[in-house]
Amino acid sequence: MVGLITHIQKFSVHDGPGIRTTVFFKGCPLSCPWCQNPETISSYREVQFHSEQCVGCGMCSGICSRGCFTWNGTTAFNSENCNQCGICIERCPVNALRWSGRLISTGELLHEIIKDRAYFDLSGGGVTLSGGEPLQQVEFCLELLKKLKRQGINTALDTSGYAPYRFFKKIMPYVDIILFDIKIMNEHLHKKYTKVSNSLILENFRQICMTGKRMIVRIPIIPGYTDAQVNIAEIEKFIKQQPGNIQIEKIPFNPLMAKKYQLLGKICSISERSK
Amino acid sequence: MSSLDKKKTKIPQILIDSLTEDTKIYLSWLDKVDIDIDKNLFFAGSFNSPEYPVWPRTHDNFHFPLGMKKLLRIGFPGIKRAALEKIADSEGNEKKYLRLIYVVYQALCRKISRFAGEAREIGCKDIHKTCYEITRKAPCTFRQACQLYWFATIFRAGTATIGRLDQHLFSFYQNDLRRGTLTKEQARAFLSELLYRYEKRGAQRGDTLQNITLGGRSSAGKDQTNDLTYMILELMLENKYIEPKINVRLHEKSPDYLLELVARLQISGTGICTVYNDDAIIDGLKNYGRPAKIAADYCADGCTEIILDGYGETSFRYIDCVKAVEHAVFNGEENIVDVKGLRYYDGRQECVNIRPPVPRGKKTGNFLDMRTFREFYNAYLSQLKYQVDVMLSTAYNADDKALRPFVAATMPNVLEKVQEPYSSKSCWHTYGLFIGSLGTAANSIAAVKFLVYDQKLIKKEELLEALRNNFEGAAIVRKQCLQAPKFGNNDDYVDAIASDIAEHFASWVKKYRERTGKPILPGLYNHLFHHTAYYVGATPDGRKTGDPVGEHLSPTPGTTLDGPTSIIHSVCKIKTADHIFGSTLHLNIPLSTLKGTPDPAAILKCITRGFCLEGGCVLNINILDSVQLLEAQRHPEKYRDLVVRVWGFSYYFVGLSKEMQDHVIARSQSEWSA
Repeated sequence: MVGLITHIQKFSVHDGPGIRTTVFFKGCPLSCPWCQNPETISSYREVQFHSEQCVGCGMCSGICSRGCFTWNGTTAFNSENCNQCGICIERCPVNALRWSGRLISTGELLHEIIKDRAYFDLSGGGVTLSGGEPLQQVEFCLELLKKLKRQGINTALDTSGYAPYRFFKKIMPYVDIILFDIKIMNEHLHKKYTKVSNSLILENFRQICMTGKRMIVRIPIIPGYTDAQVNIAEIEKFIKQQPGNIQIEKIPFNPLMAKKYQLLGKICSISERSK
Repeated sequence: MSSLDKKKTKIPQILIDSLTEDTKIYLSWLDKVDIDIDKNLFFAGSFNSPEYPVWPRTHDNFHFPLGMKKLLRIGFPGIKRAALEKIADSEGNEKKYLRLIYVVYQALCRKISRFAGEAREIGCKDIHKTCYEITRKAPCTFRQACQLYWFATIFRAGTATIGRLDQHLFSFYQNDLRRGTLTKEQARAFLSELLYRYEKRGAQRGDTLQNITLGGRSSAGKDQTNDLTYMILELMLENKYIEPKINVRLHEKSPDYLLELVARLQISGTGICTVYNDDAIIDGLKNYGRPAKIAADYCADGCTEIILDGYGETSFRYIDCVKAVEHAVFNGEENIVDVKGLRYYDGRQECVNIRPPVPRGKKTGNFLDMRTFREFYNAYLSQLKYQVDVMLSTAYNADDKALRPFVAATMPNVLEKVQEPYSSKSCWHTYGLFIGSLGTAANSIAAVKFLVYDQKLIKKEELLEALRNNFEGAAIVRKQCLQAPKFGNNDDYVDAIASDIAEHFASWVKKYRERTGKPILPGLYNHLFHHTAYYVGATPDGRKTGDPVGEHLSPTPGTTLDGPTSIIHSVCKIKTADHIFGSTLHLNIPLSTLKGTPDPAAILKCITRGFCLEGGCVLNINILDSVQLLEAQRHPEKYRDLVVRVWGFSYYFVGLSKEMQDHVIARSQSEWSA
């Protein structure tokens, strides 16, 4: 079975215990404006423009019929009208235009992951499935997780929580830790910023808590969105109400991600706003 | 010639003449050594010794430790007496040689007596007693051993390699504890002062060669980590010293606390803790004819090369495997020939005009006529072999070198068999040949293979033209070159080339012998990596002239996209234990990566253990913060205490020249950290 991923990150030390390899899945039901991995939101592969690699030859602006590129000595990319035809990628002489997202089989992925096996074992690390929302490709996840468990590798799932509970139920036997994002407690604000309601997320959270599965809650601290004291206090209160001793990690905002929006020919609305 | 005659001429006259001359200079220099005693300190002797009037390259290069085990066992008077005894039944030049040793050690004992006298006068009873005892016999207590250590240090005429300090002093410590004449606190205080003295002696000098090697295992596999090992590491951590440089030997059974201390030193940011993998290195040394027991006594030299502690001296030559790429592409000629002057540090050091060790190669044919990659690669290998042959056909054969009597007398069998250490079979000198920046060379060859032969993206003429013009007006060609596979990303396409070059290199060097018939050791090391950056023109990996090359066995700065574990996988595909003189990986981990992890030391410990498990030999983890470095370059006054590892040594970042600063910044900026 194949899945669509954007990136495999080795030596990942922020996504669960120890030294891990994190696999970023493409496709997410939420679209948070602060997303650190904007290339993982869309479920389709997308054109990425690496400006540092561009020599400004202007080839792309000549061939693109949808006007994605403007050229006056240097090239600029705007993906608003892009239909992901990929002709520009084929023609770019210096590989400054590349696909974000590639299909990979569970076998290939396992082969890549196993390379750092020694470091997982030494550090108590393993593999983290992240994204995007890995559960959007639940069958692929399941097959991969089963293979990982067969090898005795520790597994973690980094999830937005937005998926039918039966998906969780399916994969949970093969997952050691769930990194569960809770962003905003107020349903109205959650819907306003992430485009979906948080009721499914919170309900899933409650249910998983009952199973006693090891969980780490991750709260992104985004200035102007999630960082209000009342929001964080409410999240903490909500977590305390659940059974078990659940660890909380607060993830600081990383302004460097604005660059990733540029790669996609998009504008990072929240860094624009903070200007 | 009868056998007696042969014996008579064992030490040539030329050496006796040169040593007699040097001994004169040495003795008058010794006169100038201060009789300095401070009531507030435990030990006698000032921190610095006077400048030696001539640069004593031929008599001591300071890159190796004295035979401290022997010196501590028999003491200064022991050597004096042994020389005197042997003089009686020697003749000719041997007699003259022993006399020189005797005269020097007599002068040293007198000098120490003067310290003792001075101490008595100013009422420092303990110092007096200690000094007095070591003029009479071998040291018996920990305190005497430490004092002798310091005398040996200041009598060496220059800052030099120290060796396995924790092993040298341990038996004294243990005996004193057993006798109840020393407490652990006292021992700690003595060590603390000793380290403080090295810090003062070395401070502000940069490449001082003051390297300590700690820990390790015996030839039988027994762990040798001891109380002193921990004390020294803890003291280095507490005091944030940048001198002496710390090297730690690890093996499978090294205690976890040792690794913990190493990791904490690495995180502390002074950049001074290199680790060595005993499990790979001891076997590697045995493969080069070193007896097991002696191999187990290895230590770091002045940089991070591997030598044998107290068994002889060391010396090295190097050739340039990146320059050989240029020779292969330009049929033995150089691409750029303009000479640039460079400095390591700001201001105080002379500018050196840099030239490659072997500037021109041999004719291996026109690049444009090479139809297959194999043809090109063979041309490269013959260029590199040519450099090996040029360098080693003349190296290590000169017989006009002789070690200064002070140093020589501490080496094995010099007194017992009356042999000059250079021609003695009992000594195990470490002579070697280096190639460094192997990653950059492999990248260049892989780029030619990928772009010209496999993918056919670039024509040979285009590449040649671009290289000749340092990629001026060839932006597209350069971008393509930059995207060819790069060493350090666990990509076999290029890693296989790197290990193949390394294997060939080791096999060529193995054929050469030094004067006493022992093998010359290959190493993957390039302490002049920033020279290479300037005297090699543009390379097919997309590097412009002046852009950094990888130091030692490290990947080219800025080319690793897959993180430190992949760097280690790439490096460990090379059989580094074959390149036993030193194959150091500088692994730069950005501080930003470790920030926010619950236990950064645990992560570093795992990397270190993993590196050893994969069979790597020498690892230096550098925690760098590129934002801070850039800031320090702009506002040096605010960052006077920022220390970075340069190659074998650490130094204040703001004291480095602009070129060196830029190199350090380049290697701190790894793409995967974002």
